[in-house]
Amino acid sequence: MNVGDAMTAAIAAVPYAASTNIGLQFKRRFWEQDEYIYGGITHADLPIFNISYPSYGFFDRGPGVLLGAYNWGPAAFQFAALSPAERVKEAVRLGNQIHPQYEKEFQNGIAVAWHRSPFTIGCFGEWTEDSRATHCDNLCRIDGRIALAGEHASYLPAWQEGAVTSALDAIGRVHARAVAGGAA
Amino acid sequence: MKTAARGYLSALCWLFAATAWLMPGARQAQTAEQRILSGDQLAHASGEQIFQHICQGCHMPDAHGATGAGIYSALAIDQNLASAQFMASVVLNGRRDMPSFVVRHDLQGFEAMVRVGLDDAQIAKVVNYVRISFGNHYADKLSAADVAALHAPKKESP
Repeated sequence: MNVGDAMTAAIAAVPYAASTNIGLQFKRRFWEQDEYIYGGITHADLPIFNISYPSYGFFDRGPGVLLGAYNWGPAAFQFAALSPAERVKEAVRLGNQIHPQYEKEFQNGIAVAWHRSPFTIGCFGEWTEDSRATHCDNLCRIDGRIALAGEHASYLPAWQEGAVTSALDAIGRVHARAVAGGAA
Repeated sequence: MKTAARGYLSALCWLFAATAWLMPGARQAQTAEQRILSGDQLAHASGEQIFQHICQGCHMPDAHGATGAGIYSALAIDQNLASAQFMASVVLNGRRDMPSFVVRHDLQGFEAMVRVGLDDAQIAKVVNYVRISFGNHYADKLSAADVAALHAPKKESP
């Protein structure tokens, strides 16, 4: 990209964190019918990290969909290293340790490993206190004709709220430059 | 009779499975069904297994890399790997798109429990594996102590 050294260094300083999301569809909402779980999250010390239960459609007699894995770090790379079908299979195998109904009730699933998503090659910008102190201003400052915006250029990385605050910040910078006749 | 025999057989299978689980070393054994390793299993994995379970997610199984919104660099026939220290420091600290795989001691609670990084011995193993695989022929080996020397110096508190 045709930008100066400061923004080039800032771009290089923000790697993209890994994450995997896996949706699992079951024949019935056994977590409600058998376990009286209505919404919420199970945190597990398994490579799937989290199971998130739907907070909609309570008491429905038909099939239901769980978020069967939401992980990050090296565990997410382990899932990224598998084929999509294998990711789903592993989420069922691991989740079965918490809900033994998994294997009997499983119908279908879908897995997204964000590092294998070509348009993002990652899930969200990963900052440290050091990299933020050195590079955050340089990443967000307009360089020539380039202004960056998104969760990666915000103080709330990974969240839509961060993307929105970054968009407002970028618009503010563009506006300040426009009213200063391009000088700011 | 048939049912009883089947019951006995299945009980035997369970007993065998339970015994296998308790046998030392058996917990590291990876069945064909199981593709995700626990932190414990990862700690005992070979360099090749670490590559296959983590690195190939981006660098691809043949280490030829990939292109999307950015570039995953190829590790096959890679002259940058001439320096084992360079490769280890990239795994340790991250570089550009690649995040750091270091074991994090600054995490708390749930994150500290689930987030498993690669320790110095694991980084040495996977670096040594890639440097003699995929068309690379760098025979010199890195030890865990070599990787330990590459960590950023600890900051002194003000």
